[in-house]
Amino acid sequence: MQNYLKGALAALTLSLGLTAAPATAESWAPEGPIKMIIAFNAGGGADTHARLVAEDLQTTMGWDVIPEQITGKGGLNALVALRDMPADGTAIALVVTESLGYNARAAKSAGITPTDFTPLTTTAGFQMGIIAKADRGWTTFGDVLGAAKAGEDIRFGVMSPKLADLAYVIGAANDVAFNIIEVKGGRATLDGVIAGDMDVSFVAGAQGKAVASGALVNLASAMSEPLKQTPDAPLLAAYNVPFNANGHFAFVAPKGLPEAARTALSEAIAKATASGKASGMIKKAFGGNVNIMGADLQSLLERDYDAAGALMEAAQ
Amino acid sequence: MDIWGHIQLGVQAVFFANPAFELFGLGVSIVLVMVAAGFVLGIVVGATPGLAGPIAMAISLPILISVFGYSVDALLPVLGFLIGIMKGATVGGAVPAILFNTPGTPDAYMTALDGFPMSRRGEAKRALKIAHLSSASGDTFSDVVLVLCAPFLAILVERYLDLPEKAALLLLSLAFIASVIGGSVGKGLISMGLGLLAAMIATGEDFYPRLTMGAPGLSGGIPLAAAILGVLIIGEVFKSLEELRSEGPQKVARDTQSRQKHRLWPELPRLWPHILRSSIVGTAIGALPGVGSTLAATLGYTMASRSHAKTGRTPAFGQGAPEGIAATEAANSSVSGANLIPVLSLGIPGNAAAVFLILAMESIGGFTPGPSVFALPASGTNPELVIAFGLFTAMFCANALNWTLGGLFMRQVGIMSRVPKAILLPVVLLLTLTAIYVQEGKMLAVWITLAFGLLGYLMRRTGISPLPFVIAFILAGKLEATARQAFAATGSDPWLLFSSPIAFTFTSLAIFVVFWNLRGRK
Amino acid sequence: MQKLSSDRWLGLLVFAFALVLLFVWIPLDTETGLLEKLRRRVLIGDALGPTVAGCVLLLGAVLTWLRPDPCAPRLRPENLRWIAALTLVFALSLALMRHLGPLVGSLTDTGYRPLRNTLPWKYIGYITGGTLMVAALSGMAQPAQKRRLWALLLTGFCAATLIALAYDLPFEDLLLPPNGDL
Repeated sequence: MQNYLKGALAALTLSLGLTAAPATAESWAPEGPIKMIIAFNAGGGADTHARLVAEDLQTTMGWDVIPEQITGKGGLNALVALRDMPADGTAIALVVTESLGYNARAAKSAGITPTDFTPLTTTAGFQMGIIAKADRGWTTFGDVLGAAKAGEDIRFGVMSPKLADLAYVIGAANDVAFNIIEVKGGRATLDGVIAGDMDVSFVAGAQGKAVASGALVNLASAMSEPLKQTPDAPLLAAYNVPFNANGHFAFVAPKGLPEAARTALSEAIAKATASGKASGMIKKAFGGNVNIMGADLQSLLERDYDAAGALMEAAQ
Repeated sequence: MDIWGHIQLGVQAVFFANPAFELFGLGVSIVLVMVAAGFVLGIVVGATPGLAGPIAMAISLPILISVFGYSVDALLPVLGFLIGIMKGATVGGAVPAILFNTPGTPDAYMTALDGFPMSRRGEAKRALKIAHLSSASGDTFSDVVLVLCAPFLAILVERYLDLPEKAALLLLSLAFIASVIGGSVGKGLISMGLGLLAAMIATGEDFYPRLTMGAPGLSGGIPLAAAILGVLIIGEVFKSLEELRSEGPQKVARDTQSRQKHRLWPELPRLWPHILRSSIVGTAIGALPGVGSTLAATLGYTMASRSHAKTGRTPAFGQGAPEGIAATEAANSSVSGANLIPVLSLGIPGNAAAVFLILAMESIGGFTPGPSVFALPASGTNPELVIAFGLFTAMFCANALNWTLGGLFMRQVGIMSRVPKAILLPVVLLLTLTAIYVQEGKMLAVWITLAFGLLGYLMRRTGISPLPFVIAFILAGKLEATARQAFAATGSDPWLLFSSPIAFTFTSLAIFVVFWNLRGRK
Repeated sequence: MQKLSSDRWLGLLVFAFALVLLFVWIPLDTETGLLEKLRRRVLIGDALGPTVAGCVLLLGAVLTWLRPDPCAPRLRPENLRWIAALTLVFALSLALMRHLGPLVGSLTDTGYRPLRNTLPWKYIGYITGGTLMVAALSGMAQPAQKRRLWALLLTGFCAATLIALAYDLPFEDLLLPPNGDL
């Protein structure tokens, strides 16, 4: 909760205080076209909002932005590619905070840490809920645990190793064992529940429409705060789980990006998420823009990276 | 929303979305424009020896994606264009076969058997008209079957198949494809094994990119387009260029097209039994993944030949019988619609054209071919279902175009047969490599494409069909993911492929198909 | 000793490759084994999929060896020479395409990277490399006709230029080779 407030506050002060920004940031312009690496499959919400931001930067700032897909390995492929590119503002990437947190830590061979990058700004946060079909008759996650304790096999859909760990920990804390099914991409868990291949699953915002229509229910919020759409859904803390699935989409650049470029890029991106084509889409898909920037984002990423170890241990 | 609501939305999406320009005060939808453009391009390409529908689809795809972007709105225009090419090329393929005895594709080989003798008799126009009528009839018939069957098949799959059964079904289709395509089961399996292997590179669930031998360039896996275009297109170009060396200068065929007036309808009574029989044969074969239009054409021709011989009519087959053209063209054209039944309801491609439709869907996103496409939501709309009905509408628009203007276009493109292959093929090659680069943004992707081109060349030179490779490459990820999920979902049941009656049936059928084909060919 | 038919050779080669794949490549180049134990459950590991592919190859190789087709096409020495010629053409033309632009660009103050999306720099490598590729392949495909060199080069130049314009004029976001690598 505090993170979000802080982030929103930071965004507000920054956008109000644009005039107070150093003159160098205002006059900064990229030397040549900007390569925007997108770590998500084409066509999904994450990809679409990145492309809209690129379009906005092109029209409002006059920068030449060229989006490019580098997907796979939970964003690590994109980060490995970005790490070796010039740190002059002509190469940026959109990833999720989980890529620099849990995934970076789990994949030791990739050798990635948050300090290898200059974080720019987040664009939006997840609305991570645990969902089920409405016709199962469950209203909160407690009902699922009840069914599991009564001997029913529960299939739990997840879309990343971190969430698989989290699902396991949720079960372990309540003396049940789920059959955890890991799939690729946020849309796949939603489809899995709708098709009946999974009983419950994590979904990060794509459930909005189906929940509104009454076909699906949010059984719990997997974040540290309630879901915007279903504020009454209990938090994971109510089921003795000390972890959560908070996460944001974030733009990052290689390490050592000059301050002027960092400020100019962060603010231009934040502006694009708050107005223009991108903002409407972000509101629809992720419940509104969230811009955590600068030192706040840096410390958020480092905290996530450090905290990932505790979850891994709990899921052993 | 009910099924009618979805159908209406789908039709609207084709006719009224995004007008491209105004005509008599009415907006003409971009989807219709794209379908028409694709259709015309398809006829031209089909009429050009050395080119074929899949090549044109492969080259247009990256350009289309650049134009329309990666949004859901892009699906119908892009897929409409590709479907237009597919249908146009089917009609156009008959032109060089009839006029110059140079069938552009293996499907049109049988067309030349009777078409060219007719041309030599000065009946080229009549032959072309018969080819057009039969092709358009077969195509339309097949589309009707598609629209009627695909949704029901999908609903059945969704209702009765759980994860283990889905894994078994994928296994069955791969086994079927490997055993029936190409010369021998052994070579089909080699082709499929290589496709599976290529798809495994760097795609595991663990963070370590498997099978990359530490090469960082491969850590993103083999790009889908690089493998498919490499094996299917570049490999074919390498082979054709080499064959040109020994062929010497192209013979310029004489245009024997006559100018006499000709009416088709008096001939209908003797043609329609052949058209109908071939349409049914072609549709049935098309619905099976991997069997393909060449077999359909051969089967349709052979069956027609037998029944024609019984009637004792002249001219006999092979000497310029209109029935021969009708039987062949109806059979090879009726494959294309039915081939989309497994694509839309199961996500399994059956031939090269279907491969490129799936490639388009996967590149753009927002539409995952498979049973979920036809799921009717309890409330609200299923956008994928709307797209599916939009696709059906686009197909029937292409058919309408085919019936009205197809014949006219067809008689104009004979000139394409004279484009020299020695210039055309290198240009196609450069265009394909550029298309790959534009999509992937790195030189390495071009090299990977060329490497797969070499593989495709070697496969052709050793008598291995490249199609099982491509289909296995597309389905491998799906098969592995479904197997993993089924294993996890059943609480690690090692017998999941045999544990339910349906899964057991599919798995045993898969084994049976391989061994039956082994026995059947000698 | 009887000469092996081409299908027997094919079976043998694929068999050897499959064995190497199954017993050397897969064990060395995957991390999690056929099955892995994770979160107290047995899951399918990263080696299982490749192993299935290897087994399919093995089966295909055995069947091809056991039932060789006597009329199967055979790889001939001239096929190998053709492959070598193609390799040479692509090595040369792609090297030109990749490096000529940056080479010329390094003579400027800023270097090539900031110029990679501006005229005429962005076309230098693509058009020279593309011209060479099309001209060489076209010439190789019709050795008997003795086409003049300048005619071939002109064809290649026109093709490369037209393709470059077709991608570059309408689309702002696309980069021609080699500009995406920089």
